[in-house]
Amino acid sequence: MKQSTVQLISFLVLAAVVLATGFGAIGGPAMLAGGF
Amino acid sequence: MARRYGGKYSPDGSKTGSGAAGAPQPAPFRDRRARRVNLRARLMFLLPLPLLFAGLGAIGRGSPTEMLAEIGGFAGLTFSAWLLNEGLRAEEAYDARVIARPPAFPRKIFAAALTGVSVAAVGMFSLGQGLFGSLAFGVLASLAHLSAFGIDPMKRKGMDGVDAFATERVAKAVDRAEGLVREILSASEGIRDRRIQDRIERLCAQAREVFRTVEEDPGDFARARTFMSVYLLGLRDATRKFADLYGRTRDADTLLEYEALLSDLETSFTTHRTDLLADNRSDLDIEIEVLRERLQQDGLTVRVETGER
Repeated sequence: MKQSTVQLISFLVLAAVVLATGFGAIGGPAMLAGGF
Repeated sequence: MARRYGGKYSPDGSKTGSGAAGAPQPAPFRDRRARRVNLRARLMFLLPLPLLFAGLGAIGRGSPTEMLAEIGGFAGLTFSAWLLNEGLRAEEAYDARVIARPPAFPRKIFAAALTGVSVAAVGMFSLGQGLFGSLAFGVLASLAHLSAFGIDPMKRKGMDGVDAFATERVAKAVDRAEGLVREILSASEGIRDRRIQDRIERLCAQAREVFRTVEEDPGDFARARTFMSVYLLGLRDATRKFADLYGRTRDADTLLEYEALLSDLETSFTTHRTDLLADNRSDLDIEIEVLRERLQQDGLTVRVETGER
């Protein structure tokens, strides 16, 4: 696999992890507590 | 930076090549590379934004632990994005040089570690993922960061046959001289006269040519360093004083004097570069002396480092 492809995939994984953490923090506890 | 339009055929236009008579002028864009803007690295500033809103929500719910984790995570990720961008800039400077030291602080590696710690902290204290889960996400984020953006250059970049100490000295001197060139250019922005600014930029381009010459052949490094110090410190101090004075008074005599100094510097510098290339030591020593006296006459105190350290 080309290096640029690996870098792109890694970036997408990183973006997914950071965004999921952020949106998880917005959604998860707020839903448990009865809405944001 | 916005600049007044003007060229060869504009009113008040400059005759290009004034100053150093007959000396070849470097092309205006020589050694001025376009900065690479890494969109992915810039996006790293946007990705943590949901955490900020989550932190605000946690404040609304009155949950201090979550709030600290989320706002802290947001701060950590933003700081790491800044470190990453600085690291990429340092890497670009490293790539542009023939002789270079690795950055003193490995910014990209630190950015990857900080990203991992921030993601793990949010997972642990805000999302309740537990130790293993949060560590797994943290490590994944760090590894993805390292793989996406790479690590900092770690090796000294020099020439074969030059010992590490000499390479280090050349790299340090060029670093300092590059710093002086940046100060000169920023001081010249206060002059608000395109013709003068262009001449200063040309001088700086010539200075950068000498850096490249010294990097490629550090044989006569001590003299080159002395000349760079005299020349660049003189030009910086003169430019600062001139920008201050001319900005206030727009005095024609001051302008003439400064232009005369610029012409002298242009001539000296071109000669110096030729002497440096031809290894003509005695001429170079005389040149340095003449320039030093010239600067002293103009009341510019020049701190000169002479000899070896």
